[in-house]
Amino acid sequence: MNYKNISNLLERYFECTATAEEEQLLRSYFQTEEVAEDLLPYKDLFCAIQSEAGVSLPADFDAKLQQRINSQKPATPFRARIISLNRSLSPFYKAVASVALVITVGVMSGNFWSARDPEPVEYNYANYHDTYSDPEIACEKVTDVLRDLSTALRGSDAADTAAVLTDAKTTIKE
Amino acid sequence: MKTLLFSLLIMLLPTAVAYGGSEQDFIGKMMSHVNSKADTYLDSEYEHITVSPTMIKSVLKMIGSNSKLLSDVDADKQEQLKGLLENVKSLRILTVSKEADKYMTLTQKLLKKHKRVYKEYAVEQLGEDKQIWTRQSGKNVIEIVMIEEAPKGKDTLQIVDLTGSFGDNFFNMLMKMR
Repeated sequence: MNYKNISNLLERYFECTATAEEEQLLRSYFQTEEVAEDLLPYKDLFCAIQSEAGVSLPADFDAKLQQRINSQKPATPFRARIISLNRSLSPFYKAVASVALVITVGVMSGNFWSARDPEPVEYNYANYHDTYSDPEIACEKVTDVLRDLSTALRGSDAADTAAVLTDAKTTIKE
Repeated sequence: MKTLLFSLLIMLLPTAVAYGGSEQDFIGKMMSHVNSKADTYLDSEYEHITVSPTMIKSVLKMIGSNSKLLSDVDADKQEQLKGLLENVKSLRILTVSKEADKYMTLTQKLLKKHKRVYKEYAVEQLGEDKQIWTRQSGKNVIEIVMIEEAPKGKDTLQIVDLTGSFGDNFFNMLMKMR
């Protein structure tokens, strides 16, 4: 086996055009100790291929695998379940209940806050523009208003008094 | 659970917002509406008078300085007026001289809109042409609105709006006023 032949075979090997016999020749060559110096880099390749070819499963592999399979629990048989209408609508019922709870709490809290004494009302007096610049005229206006209000309220008070008197007279007659 | 608690918090936040801030009295609310529809509510149809808290204070000052110059009877009246005015903060009067029905409709609409705020007072005894509405804050009345329609045949309306603090003492003094 001369150097030139090995080189040719290597070239054919890397081009994937080498036959099985030629590959075997290459492996046999690289397993010898008389490998040319410039072909030494390829020695590890052909030796690794050769060592990998020697890997095989242990003798008891099949027995161990079968034992592992047999030790697993049998799968429960799948049974189709019938879902009732109520069960399928359950998420909807939960959503409705949540919304109802939120609304109820909201209404109750709203009623609670509105029933409490409100915060003091602050009128926007800064936006009030006086019609009169003379306090005397303003005083007259205010006095007239208060007098009218007093008359109106006394009118209702007088009506109350009259009703009480009428009831009293009716009671005496009876 | 987190989503539910978050929803509750978002829902409760608006109800916890404090009341107060700038508030309009009844005539202020009416005028806002009237001014926004200037082509419907003409300036020539009504007169709007305002006496602000500043002017009320000026009036009280004037009464205080004049009381020394008055006779006993007049001094009593001035004292009564002073006692009443000390509770009054502002006065507004809206006098409608034309198309009173239009303004009365607006008044009723606003009273209905703010029915939780304004309560009617002494309905039957006042008569058909007068209405008194009050606004309360706590135990005190803070606003009195008196609505007076003109007798049949006249197309006028007057609304008087007093703000202040009107307790039992004020009403007692008012009833004694002549």
